[in-house]
Amino acid sequence: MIKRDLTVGQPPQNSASADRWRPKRRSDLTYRTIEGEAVILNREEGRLHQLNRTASFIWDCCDGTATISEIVNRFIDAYEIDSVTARQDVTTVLSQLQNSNLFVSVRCNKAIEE
Amino acid sequence: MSLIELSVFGCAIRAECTDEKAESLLNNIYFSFKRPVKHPHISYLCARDKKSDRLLIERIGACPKIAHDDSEFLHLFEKDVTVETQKLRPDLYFVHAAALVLEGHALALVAPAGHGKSTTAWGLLHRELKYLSDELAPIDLTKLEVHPFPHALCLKGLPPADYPLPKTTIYTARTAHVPADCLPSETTLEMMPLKAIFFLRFNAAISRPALKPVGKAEATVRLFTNALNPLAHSGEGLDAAIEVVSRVRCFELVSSDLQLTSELIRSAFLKNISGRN
Repeated sequence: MIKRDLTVGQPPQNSASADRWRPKRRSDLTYRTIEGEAVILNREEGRLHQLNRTASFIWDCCDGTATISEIVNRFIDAYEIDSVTARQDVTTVLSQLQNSNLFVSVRCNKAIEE
Repeated sequence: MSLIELSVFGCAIRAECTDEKAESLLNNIYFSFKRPVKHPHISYLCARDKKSDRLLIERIGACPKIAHDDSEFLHLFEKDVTVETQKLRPDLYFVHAAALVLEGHALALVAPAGHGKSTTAWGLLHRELKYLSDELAPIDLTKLEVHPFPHALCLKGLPPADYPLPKTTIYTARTAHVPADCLPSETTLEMMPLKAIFFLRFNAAISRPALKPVGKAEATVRLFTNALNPLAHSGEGLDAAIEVVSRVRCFELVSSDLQLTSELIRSAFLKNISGRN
């Protein structure tokens, strides 16, 4: 029996799950922020990502300590937008980053048995 | 047998040619690099393979490579020189670019192969810009200067009819090479300060070229993806790219008609170096 972390689909949408997931950047990536925009080098996959300013702000928050709700709150403070829009933006960006395989595995509630 | 001795970015290269065709190609293509060499850093033997009757190139200490035609022979030689000089000069940031000079300042046309760097350079050489490099523009990161790499300008296709190639052009199976001493403008053999980068993309479907400034992050990405030795530098090459784009103006250029494209680059560069907007 192999238990593994699950990294699929969208980040958790409901607040309970959102408070459990603490997105964390992969430590093997090289990234730099230039004029507020992050450039991320994923050597393993031979990919280079450029994020806009808002995505870069969210990326910067993904140090493995902040939950999605906390990131949303920081985002609201920085950009002075309403919470619905902020949550939508944050989850969209996190989805894209996750789909681009830029986070370490996400620990969800259940493990898969194989 | 003939010895061809070259100096490329301060690296001494010696090619011993036992085949007349190989000798003639190297002599004409690398005319501007010829210097007497006492102790070569890199040595080659260029000969004709007796079995296949094809040109072969052997770097001393490496396996010989057989070229299917003269075009591949030049490609193999230059590719090997490029890789070996990168090892000898890891301090330089090697970028896939053409570079030209106007009023003592260099501009780089950066793009992957086949995006019109050399053709655009050919157009600019008709507009008083001097020739500095083609295909390869190694950047000294401390001084932010571009090293000359003035091999014969290599065109993969014929330029428009109003920009004809000279009679001295060397045609191979797939390429046309205009020797540096046959260009419509002078060749610069000194390092030149880099002032602007144009990220080039050819689009035959548009009637007029389009130029726009690009931000530093985007420029970093574009420069990095055209760098040949990023891993020789800190931050896996990202820091060097940032360093360069932070100190020069960067533009995206969608090129079309050669005359209009050349005029647009020239005027944008002149504005840039004179500080006008």
